[in-house]
Amino acid sequence: MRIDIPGVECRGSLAAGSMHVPSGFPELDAMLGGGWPGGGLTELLVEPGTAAELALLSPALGRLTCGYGGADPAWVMLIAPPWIPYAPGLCWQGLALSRVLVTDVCRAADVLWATEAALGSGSCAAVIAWAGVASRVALQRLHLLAVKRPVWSVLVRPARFRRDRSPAMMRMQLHLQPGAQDAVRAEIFRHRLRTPGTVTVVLP
Amino acid sequence: MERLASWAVSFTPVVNIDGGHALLLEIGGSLQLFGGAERMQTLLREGLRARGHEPVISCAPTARGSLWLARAGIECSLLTHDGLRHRLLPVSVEYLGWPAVTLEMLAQTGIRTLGECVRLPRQGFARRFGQARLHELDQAFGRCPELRQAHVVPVHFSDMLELPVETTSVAALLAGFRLLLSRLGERLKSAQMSTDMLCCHLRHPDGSDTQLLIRLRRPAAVATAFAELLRLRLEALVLPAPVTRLLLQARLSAGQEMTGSDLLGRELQADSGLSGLLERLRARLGGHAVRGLALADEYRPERAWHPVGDPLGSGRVVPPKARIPGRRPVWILPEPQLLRQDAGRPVHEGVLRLEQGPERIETGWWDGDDIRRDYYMARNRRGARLWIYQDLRSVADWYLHGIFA
Repeated sequence: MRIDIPGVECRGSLAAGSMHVPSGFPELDAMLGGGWPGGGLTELLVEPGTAAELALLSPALGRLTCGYGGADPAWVMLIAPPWIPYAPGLCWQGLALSRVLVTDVCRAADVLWATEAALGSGSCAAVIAWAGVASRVALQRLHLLAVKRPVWSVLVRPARFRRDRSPAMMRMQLHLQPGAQDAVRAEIFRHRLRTPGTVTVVLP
Repeated sequence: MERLASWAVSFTPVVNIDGGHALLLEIGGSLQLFGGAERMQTLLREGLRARGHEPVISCAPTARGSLWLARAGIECSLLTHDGLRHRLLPVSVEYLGWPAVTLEMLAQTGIRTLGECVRLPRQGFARRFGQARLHELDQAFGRCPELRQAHVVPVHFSDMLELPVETTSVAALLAGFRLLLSRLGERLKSAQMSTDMLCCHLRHPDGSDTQLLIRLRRPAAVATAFAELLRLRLEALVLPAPVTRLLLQARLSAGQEMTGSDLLGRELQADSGLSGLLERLRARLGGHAVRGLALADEYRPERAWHPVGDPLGSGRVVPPKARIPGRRPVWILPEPQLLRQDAGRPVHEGVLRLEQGPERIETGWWDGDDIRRDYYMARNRRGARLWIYQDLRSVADWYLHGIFA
């Protein structure tokens, strides 16, 4: 069976891990087995104030919003971003702004609710949410919603939650490299289908 | 006038507003129902007086004929074309609503009444005063039919439910509203109508109301479309007191949303999924919670973009990198943040190292909100790349404006 969601590659079956969004970083794609995994929750842990995650996710978001490989342009949703996503900057990163939605959330509890709503509607090819505390049950619900649909879902959370148990399909922590130029270290410390590992990525 | 038109619909479905001062009612089909023209005029007059208007009511076989008679202040109830002709002929041309130029030309020709108009040769009249004027004459005297756009009246649905006990329970309130919604659904179905706005009143024992307004991006014919939104709103609501009575009002509009699929079915469906999502998000998070992004034609960085309230409106995908003057960060701060300085060098979690720049942005002199800044890409101790600028108009203060990564 084939599912068609613009920009998300589907290889053969519905099984988790069979869909990928090429990340735009060859080293990372190799490590992830083709790209950011769809069909399951990705947790991205960052030190507060790091701000590197959007630059890391942007090439993949750009592909989705512009449509690539014959796919139609698809919608991407940013939920509760920590600062204002700057339209010219996103444009510079290659995103088609006409396919970008931003949802502002005042209460922390609403972030997970909005993420759940966005995943459940099945109308966005990517849902990127900045969340804080999340119960295991809440994460489980998000993960199950993501498994059922060919959507790339990323929950960005502070690194202090690394020790919490999580049902996510893939968990990654970003480390800034104070010495190296524009490089971040992406530590994949858990992946349901691949062996963990670390890869250094040079951001554009 | 709109309100009067809406009221007049109770007499006949075909109501038209003319020129802001006249209401035209096609009553041919309603005469029997209201017991004749005289009786209907009485009812109309009483109704209009009760609303603070002193009407001139003329009833005639043609719409334009009755309009001209009413403008001339002639009240009558004519049922035949001959009778109408007889009353119209002495009417002065001043009341016809014709342009001043035409009236002046008529006056120069010595024509004062409609009767003098119709005595002129048709061809000559049309040549001198315009085909449209001749056409109006024909319409008034019933020589050719007149088509008028029926006033589309917003129809309202209003229904209420007394609750058996006072309650604040969301489940109980929702159950009550579901009943009202199902009644609304029946009404929509029978009238082939749809609605895009609901007003829910929750009446408290002291007579005060808590109101919830629910809007849909697209009109829906199924009242159940609202049930889910209503549940979200009720859950978020803090009630000041128990509720004794529920009132549901809806604005109805003609036509039902096409369901099923067509050639564009897939696209329509995907889009409606997204508009449904936006409605849910807005219902719970507020009307401005969800937005799109767009570039603005401005060099001042804080004005180089703007939020888009209706992001689904633009179907076209604008290719990126269209008009970006230079490298820009993905994040921007709501306001530039003044940075501390250490021996003249900007500090943000450690002394910042300037890596790229300056990019001079100097613009906005025309609206008094001008800027003169040198932008740099800077890196802090932790390795974060920041977008900072030195304000050249001040005493060289440094500001943090955006974050690259």
